[in-house]
Parts: sequence; C-alpha cells; structure tokens
Amino acid sequence: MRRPVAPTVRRLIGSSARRLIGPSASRPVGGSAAWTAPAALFLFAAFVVPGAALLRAASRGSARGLLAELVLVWTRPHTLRAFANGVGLSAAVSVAAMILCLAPARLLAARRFRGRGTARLLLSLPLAFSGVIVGFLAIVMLGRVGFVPAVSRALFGRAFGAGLAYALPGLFLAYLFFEIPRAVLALEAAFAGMDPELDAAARSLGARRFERFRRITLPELRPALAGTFATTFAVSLGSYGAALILSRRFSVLPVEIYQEFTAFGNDAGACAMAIWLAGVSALVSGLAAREAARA
Amino acid sequence: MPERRSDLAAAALLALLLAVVVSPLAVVVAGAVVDPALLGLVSESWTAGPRPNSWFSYVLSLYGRQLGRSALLASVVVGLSVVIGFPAAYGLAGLRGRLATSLRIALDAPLAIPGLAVAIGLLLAYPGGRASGATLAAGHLLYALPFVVRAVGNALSRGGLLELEEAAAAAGADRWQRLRRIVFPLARPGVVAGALMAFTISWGEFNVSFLLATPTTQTFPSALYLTYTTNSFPVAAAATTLFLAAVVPALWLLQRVAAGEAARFGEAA
Amino acid sequence: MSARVEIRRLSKSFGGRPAIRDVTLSLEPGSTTTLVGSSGSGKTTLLRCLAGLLAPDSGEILFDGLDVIGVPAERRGVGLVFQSYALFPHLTVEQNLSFGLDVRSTSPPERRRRVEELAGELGLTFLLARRPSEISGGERQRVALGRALAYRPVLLLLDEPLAALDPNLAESVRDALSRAIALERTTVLFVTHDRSDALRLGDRVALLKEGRLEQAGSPRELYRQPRTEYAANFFGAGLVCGAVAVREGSRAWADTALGRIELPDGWSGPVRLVIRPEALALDDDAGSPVVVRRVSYEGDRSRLFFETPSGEAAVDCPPGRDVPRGARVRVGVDPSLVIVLPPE
Repeated sequence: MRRPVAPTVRRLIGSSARRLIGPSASRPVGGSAAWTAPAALFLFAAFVVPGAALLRAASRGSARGLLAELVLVWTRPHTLRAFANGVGLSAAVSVAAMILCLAPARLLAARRFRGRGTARLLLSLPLAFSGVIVGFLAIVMLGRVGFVPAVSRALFGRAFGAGLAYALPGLFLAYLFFEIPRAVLALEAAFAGMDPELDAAARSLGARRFERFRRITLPELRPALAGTFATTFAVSLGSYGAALILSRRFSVLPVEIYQEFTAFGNDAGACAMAIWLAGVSALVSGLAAREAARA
Repeated sequence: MPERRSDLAAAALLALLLAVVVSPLAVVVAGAVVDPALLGLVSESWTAGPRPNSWFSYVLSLYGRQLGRSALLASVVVGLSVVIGFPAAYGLAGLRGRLATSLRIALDAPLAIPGLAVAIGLLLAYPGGRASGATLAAGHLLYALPFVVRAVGNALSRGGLLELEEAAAAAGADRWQRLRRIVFPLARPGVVAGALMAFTISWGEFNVSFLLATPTTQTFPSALYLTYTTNSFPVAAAATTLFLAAVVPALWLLQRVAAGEAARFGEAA
Repeated sequence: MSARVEIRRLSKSFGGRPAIRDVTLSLEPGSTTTLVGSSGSGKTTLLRCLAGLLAPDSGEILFDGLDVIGVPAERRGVGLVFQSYALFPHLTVEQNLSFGLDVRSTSPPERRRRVEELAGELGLTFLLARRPSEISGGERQRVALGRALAYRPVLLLLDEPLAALDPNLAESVRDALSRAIALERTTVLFVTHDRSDALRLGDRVALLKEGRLEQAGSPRELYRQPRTEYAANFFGAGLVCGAVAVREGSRAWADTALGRIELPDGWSGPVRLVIRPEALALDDDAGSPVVVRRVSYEGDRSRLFFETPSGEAAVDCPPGRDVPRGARVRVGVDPSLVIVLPPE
C-alpha cells in the first residue's frame, strides 16, 4: 500500500531513481578501488614486469638455472667483499645517523625557536642529492687539497684530514651526509606525533629523566626508529654514486653490478647480484615495516 | 633546569649537523664565484683548463642540454605522478581492509628496491624504451609516486575527507560536485607538496638514470658525474651550484606548503 | 516541504554483527522525534540509513510514500548535522551555509536572501566572512545547522549535535536549536544519548536498545508509562521490586518493603514495580522506617539513599532539611507515580 507521492519529494528524487541507481551503493563517498587502477597498472608494468625480466635474465645465463646462478655469484671473492662492505657501511651509517639525529629531531619537534624553519630547510637539502654530489662534496672538504686540510694548515700548520675522503672514514661521512635529512625528518615527525602528556604522566609518577627516556620515549619511538633504519639502510645500500667517485679500493655491490653489466656484459651475473641486492634491501625494509606495524 | 641543559646539548648537536651539511655547500658555491685559491684549494689539476669570464655560462655551454633534459624529465615525472598519484590516494582514502593494505605496500615497495636493480629490470623488460627516455621516466616515477600518494593521502585524511564528503553528499552534491568543491581543494596542499617532492626526487636521481640514460637522454646528475671526473674544480663547483639553484627553492616551497597546511587545519576541529 | 518518513522493518549489520534489527518507526511531517539509546544501540546507523550514507540490508524507508532506498544521499533532500560538524575548512561561513544551494544551482539573489535569513536566525550575520577555524565551537554548531537547513530539507537529521559542547554552551545552543527547528517546520530526527534532551526536545521519543526499537511514543508516555524495565530505568532509574498484586473488587494493591502500595485497576498476580525517587517522600507520620546509608547533596535538594530487601532506593529531601548519614527516617510512597510492569 503506497501513499500518493508528494510532489516535492518526487521532484527531489525522481521516480526512476531506484531503477537507475540500484540498491548496491554501500559506500557513497571516498574513491573506490577503481581509482587506484592507474597506479596499479603502472606498478605492474614498471615494477613487476621488470622484476620478472630480472629473474628470467639471471636464470638464462647458465644451464644451471636461477638458483645455481644465485649461489654462484658468491664464489667470487670481490663480490662477497663488496656485498659485505655495502651492508656493513649501510648498517653502521644508519645507526650513526639515528643516534646523531635523535636529540636535534626532538628539539625541532618540541621547541619553537627562531631559525627553526631555516634549520629544517638546510638539513633537508641533501634529500635531493645523489651520491655523486655527496662524493664531490667529500673531496672538496676532505680531499688531498680539500677545504678542511687547507684551513687547518692555515690555522694550526698541519693539514688535518687530507685525503680522508678516499678512505673508509670519508665514505662513511659521505653516506652519513645524505642520511642526516632522512633521519632528522622521520624522527621529528615521530616526536611531533608523541603525546606530551605521556612524559608528564611518567614524571608525575616519579620517573627520572633517563628512566622516562628508556621506558616511555624509546618504546614510543620504536616503530619510527625501525622505519627510519629501513629507509636509511635501503637508501645507503642502493646508492653507489659516492663510492663511484670516491673509492677505487672500497667497492660496494651496486658498483660491481654496474661494471658486470656494462663493462663485462655478464647479464646473468649482474642480474643475480641485483636480485640479491634487492632481496636484502626488501628483507630489511619488510622486517622494519613489520616492527613498525606491531606498535 | 635539567630540561634547559638537555636542550642546549641538543642545540649544539643540531648546530654540528647544520655545519656538516652547510659548510661543503658553502665552499662549493663560493668556489664557483671566486678563485678557488682564495679558499685555499690550490691544485694543478683543479685550476687547469680554460678560464672563461663566468663559470656558469661555461657550464651551460657544456651541459646545457642535460640541464634542459633534466628539467623536462622532472616536469613529466611531476605531471604523471600527480595524474596517477592523486586518484590512487583518493581511492585508498575510501578503502579499508586487506586490499587497502596490500595496495599501500605495493606502492611503497619500489622504495625498498635499489635503483640499479630497477634500472636493469626496466632495461631488460623494455629494451626499446631506452632511446625515448620512457624507461627513464618510469624509473623516476617509481620513486616519486609513493611520496605523492602519501602527501595527498595525508592532506585528505587530515582534512577529514570522508566525513566532509558525506556532509557534501547529504547537502546535495553529486560525485563530480564533491570532487570539484571538496576533494580537490582538500587535496591541493598535498598535491603541491607531492609535486615538489617528485620534482626534487627526479631532479637529483642518479641510481636509475646512470644506467638507463643514453648519450642522448643523459640527465644533469649524470653530467655532474662527468664534470667531477673530467673538469676542473670551478666548473664542477659551478655545475653543482646550478643543481642547487633548483633544489633550494623547491625544498623551501615544500616547507612553506607544510607550514601553511598546518596553520589551516591547526585550529579547525 | 516536510516529509512523512516511514521506516519499515529496517535491518543493517556490519560483518555479521547486527547494528539495527527490524526497526519500524514513522516520523510525522513537521514533528521532531528524538532517537535515544546508549552508545552502540544503533542510533547513528539508523540515521545514516535515512541520510543515504549507508545501505540497509533489508527493510524500507519511505519519504511521503516513496521508497528512497538506493537513492543516493545527494538526491534525498535530507539535511544532516554531524556530531563533529564536518564544516568545510576551505570555505567561509557564508560559503558553508550556501553550499547546498550552490550545488542545486539556486539563483544568486535567492541564495543571498536565504543565507541572510539563516544567518539572522542563527546569529551568524557578523561571522559570514570567517572560516570554520576562526569561530568558536558553539558558532560552528550553528553553522552546521544552518548549512543543513539552507536548502529546506524534507527531513533534518541531527547526530548528537550537542555532545561536543560543554554543558553551559550546550544549554544556549539547545535553545537556538529548538527555536530554529520550530521556525523551519521540517521533519526532524534528533539523535542523542542524553535522556533529558530526548524528553525535552522531542514531540515523540524513540528508544533503541541493541538495535531494536524498545518503545516509541510521546515523552510523557515514555517517562510515565514505560513498557519495559529497561525503558523505565533509562529515563529515570528507580528501585525495581517484584510483588504480587492482590485484587479485591475495583481495588488492587501490592505489599512491598515500603509498605502497601495501591495499584491501578486491572493488575493481579505477580508484577514488577519501579519506584523512582520522585514517587517517594519523607513522611514522618505514616512512612516506612529506613536508615540513610548515603547522602548526595545536589544544591536544590539532597538525595538520600537507603537499603531495602529489593536493593538500594533513593528519596529526595527538601533543601531546608538536613538529614545526616545513618539517620532514621520514614518514607512514604505516592502510588500514582509508581510504575507497574508485568513480570519478566
């Protein structure tokens, strides 16, 4: 039994609306999955397909197949060394960057002071730098005729740091240079997202400063620390510009891959190494993401 | 009182980090303008070569083409990353559950994969894409897209997209009117921030480009590698300064956008 | 412009958990119905189904007899005020108010006239150029109301519009709200968890419990003649005690811990009685003796709590009289204010 339809409502709704729209539309707002289709298609074409090509190329190189090729790359000592160098350097740089940036990040997040914006801007500059620029900057500062030795010779009569850029400490500093903005910005965001009342509550409960840091701040920061480590580690591991510019003796895996691929034409070997590089980087990122999600 | 002391220590550390970041840049920029010898940088190899009036015009004559190509590539990457990234962020804002989570992970996945591996994969999968620069753009886009999606997504969720869109729907706005009047304005600061990030990433990208670029598609960061290994110090310094000249304004704008957005939504419930 | 809204056997569940079950309710044109219930009772789900923001699993929603299920929110002509207001942050107060007119392509003079009229009604005239972030909570609330009223909705839905305001502010906004609603004469569904708002603001009150309609009726009906113990306790908690009604001729009574209580005609056998504080009074002559366990001083009165064999009960003590804890007092019952329910 339907009542006669009031004209106002009829005009607002339209009598055929139900037939046209159907009763489905359960979520009337926000984009639907279809909106993500362009991104999904792009990822498939530019990420999944190349990944498959990488696997195929690695397996095609020898009659032994993919797994054998993946194992075989480790029989070359210089590959092993380059891999260990990269992983060790990246891990050390990531940890150092986090430790160095913790207090400044808290300062940027918690305090309002003049020049805060400028400080943040300047610290974020290396975000845009590729490894080669950082390598060049290292040479300018710590090369054989670098700025630091020149100044120290003028001031103290001795050239400190000359040629340091070409040795391991120089490489370490160069990598640290472009991890600083990533660590600072990520940790600043984490500090900014922390509830200041937590610290106040801990204080009212009688916790001393170190105890508050250990029991409140650190656990709160854990996901951010994991995320920061993953980012800086992946960036360091994949970067090779600085090593390309700075070091002949201290090689990292991407440099080996590049040479294997371009100079020696060993596609299968280069691909196998690239798979390892990507695998380790993805593994560390995945573990960190899980750690971050757990909190 | 102890707070003050720990703040001072943090400020000192901050100053140290700033010095580490800024001093090499200052030396390089100065080296492009004044005689390197004034900076104490005296070396046979660094002062050899031609001595033009301005190192900048000399760099432009050497690497102007790469500079232009990098600018073009960055614009293409910015455009594509917004065109693909905005809908993705809007779509993700309306999705819940497992599908949304896997999409998010997939979008972020390239960030965990070294650029060289991506470059080799792209080269093998699309050997023809190298000459046109298509694979180069795709490689840059892979690393720019996550930042655009994140920036737009943050802007949308920060503004309370779903509820505002519901309010607009209840007030009689259809999907297109909601997009135009609510979603676009809400997303705009995020789009601007994401576009600036995409520009910065593409402008400085080396890991993918070094392998994928041919001599005719070579970008400015690869040219920088060339200048560092072959040219004298003032040329290298001038080239680096030109590189910085684009990065600094972009990052400055990025910060302004972030501050503006914070001010806009700071007080609103 | 106001519609008769009929909700018929409406059900909606989320992932197998029912939010509303088989709700049937009608809203008379131009009347205000308050929808009340504790949190999680399905109030907001029902409201969102009416707004078109949720599709129910089954049932019908009729606006003036026309089924609107499947009609998208933007074509229902409904006004919706969110608990968080959901004002558009990038638009001024004026633009927020005229949003619904803009998307309907109303003519500019008509639009201006309506916005001015609403701004006057709601006291927003001097705030039109501001943005939502630049006005106070109460002002935002009024903008949200004005935005929903601007296009003369056939049905106005209010989702806990006072919940986010502090009590003093809520009082003044409540007045502005009821004035504006009276002026606009539209059908209103007002969702609230506040029982006194429900009674004060509604022509009719609908009580939801766990997704089902517990009872609907006039405020007086729900307060004085609740049909269930839940409804009785929701609007005014009291002592619930079991008793046996004895009938003798045209009289009926029951014996309780507080003495013999006269019952309305028609009751016999086991019953439940709900005795609210207002049904009790200190009666030094004829009341039943009790011992005061707890005193809650509330300014205009103090409430005295005492134990009975059926549980704790309370009686109000006039402000002039000071009864300390532990005192012995006598309590009398006004039988006309006792609620009688059938046994469980």
